[in-house]
Amino acid sequence: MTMVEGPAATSTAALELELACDIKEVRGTADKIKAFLIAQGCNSAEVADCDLALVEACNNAIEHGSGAAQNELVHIVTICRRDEIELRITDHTTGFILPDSAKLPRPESETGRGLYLIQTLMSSVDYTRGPKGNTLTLVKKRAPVLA
Amino acid sequence: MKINVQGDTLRVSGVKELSAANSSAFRDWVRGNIGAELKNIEIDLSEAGFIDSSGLGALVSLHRTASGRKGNLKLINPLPPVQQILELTRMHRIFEIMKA
Repeated sequence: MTMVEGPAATSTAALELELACDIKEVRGTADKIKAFLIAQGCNSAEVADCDLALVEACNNAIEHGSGAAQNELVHIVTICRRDEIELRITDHTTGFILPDSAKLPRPESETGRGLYLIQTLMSSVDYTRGPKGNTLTLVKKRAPVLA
Repeated sequence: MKINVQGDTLRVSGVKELSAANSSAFRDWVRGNIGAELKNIEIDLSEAGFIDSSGLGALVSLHRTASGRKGNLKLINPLPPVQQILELTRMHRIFEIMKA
């Protein structure tokens, strides 16, 4: 795991992490990002929403990895700006088609709620597929800080 | 986690989180402990600070297990972050939620 952390005192700070393709590693990595966001002054709702969206995104990246993708690391970049939090999750899976607005599955379904949660919790969600990996970009607008 | 039996109900407590890392094991562990004479499942979520979609899936599965025995699944005292996810996914309409 590598970590590059910018200074918390500036208006923009970044954290870069790599995650092994192991579902048991997801929560530990998400906890590091949660601590980073708290250190940047993000409020509890912003942190909780980013935490769950990130976990869902990483779970998808790992669960849908097969073959050589299982040996590749998932790359996570967190950028905390004054007005928004950006999470970029890059994996090496075959990728998926991001719907404009994911729908909830039938109540009795045991799966299919991850993308819905991500899109509901985040301000915007973008997905790009490319030969060097697929990147899911999650942006959460931050509440204005009162002077 | 702990399990105890009260009448025809299996009660599960001490759940810290329900995530992709533990949800399948949790579901299987509860199912493995529900005797033939039991029909209801109660899960105390008062210590659970996190749930993701895989955790919800495990609860759906246990709801089905209880329904198959003509019983029900009750969630006890979910903390606000978990309650929020239950409401966002509208699962609060499916599960019976009890708050002390």
